[in-house]
Amino acid sequence: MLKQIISKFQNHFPAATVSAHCDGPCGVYDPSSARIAAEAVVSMTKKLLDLEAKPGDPAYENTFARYVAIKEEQAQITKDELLILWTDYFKPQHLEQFPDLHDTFWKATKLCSACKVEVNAQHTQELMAAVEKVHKMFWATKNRDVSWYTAS
Amino acid sequence: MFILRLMCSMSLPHATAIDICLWLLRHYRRFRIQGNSMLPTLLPDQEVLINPRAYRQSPPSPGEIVVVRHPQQPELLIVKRILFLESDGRCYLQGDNAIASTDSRQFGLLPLSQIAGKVHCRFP
Repeated sequence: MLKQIISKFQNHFPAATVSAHCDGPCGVYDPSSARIAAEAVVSMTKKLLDLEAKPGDPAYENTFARYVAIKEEQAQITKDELLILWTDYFKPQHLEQFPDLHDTFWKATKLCSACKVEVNAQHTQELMAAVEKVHKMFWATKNRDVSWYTAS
Repeated sequence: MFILRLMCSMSLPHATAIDICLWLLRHYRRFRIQGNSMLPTLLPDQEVLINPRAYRQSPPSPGEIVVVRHPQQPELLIVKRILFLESDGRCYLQGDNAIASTDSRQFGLLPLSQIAGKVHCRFP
């Protein structure tokens, strides 16, 4: 009862914030971490689509659950890595260079969510294409020619 | 590092009825955590009660969690754990989630006057 009252109070009267933060950005950014996670999403989606369904078989259920869990986890990692690049690395001057920067990241992170919700090979390929686009934008801002590659 | 892990394992208690009374009497202040540097002890959006008067009579002890004014941004309050105190009274702070924390490793030792209070408990 008391907890409910306090909880309502907290919602109506937000407390001042105290920062448990990190304000010393290490400055080390690389879109390859998003690419590696996205590749895992592609791989897990493919494995799920190729998996022969054997309902009731514990080994099958276990494998299915593992594939789904890894796909979910890696899609979230891809999203986190993209958001770090978007919010921490890219600056307003980059927006002048790439006017579609916000749209690119918005769509890429939306694709991460789609890949979690679905088992859709098309969307995983679109996610890879979006990560590749981010890769090209990122290295262009550094005036470095880093070719796109995939591990798998 | 072992000591830091040991300290992290000391979980922060939840507020008791007395704590809530002291907060209502404005002896304690309420704050909401923002950021990840005190994980796993303090989660983002969790609220805590701090005692601004905790160190009026006696100095802080290593292992206590405190709210301090950021040395370079006086308007910013940050929450960290005290790892140790120097003999001159200054304290060394570190986030429990050291990899995602800016603390004494960057800004050095802080005088006790920078401490705004001791984190007393979770709220509620």
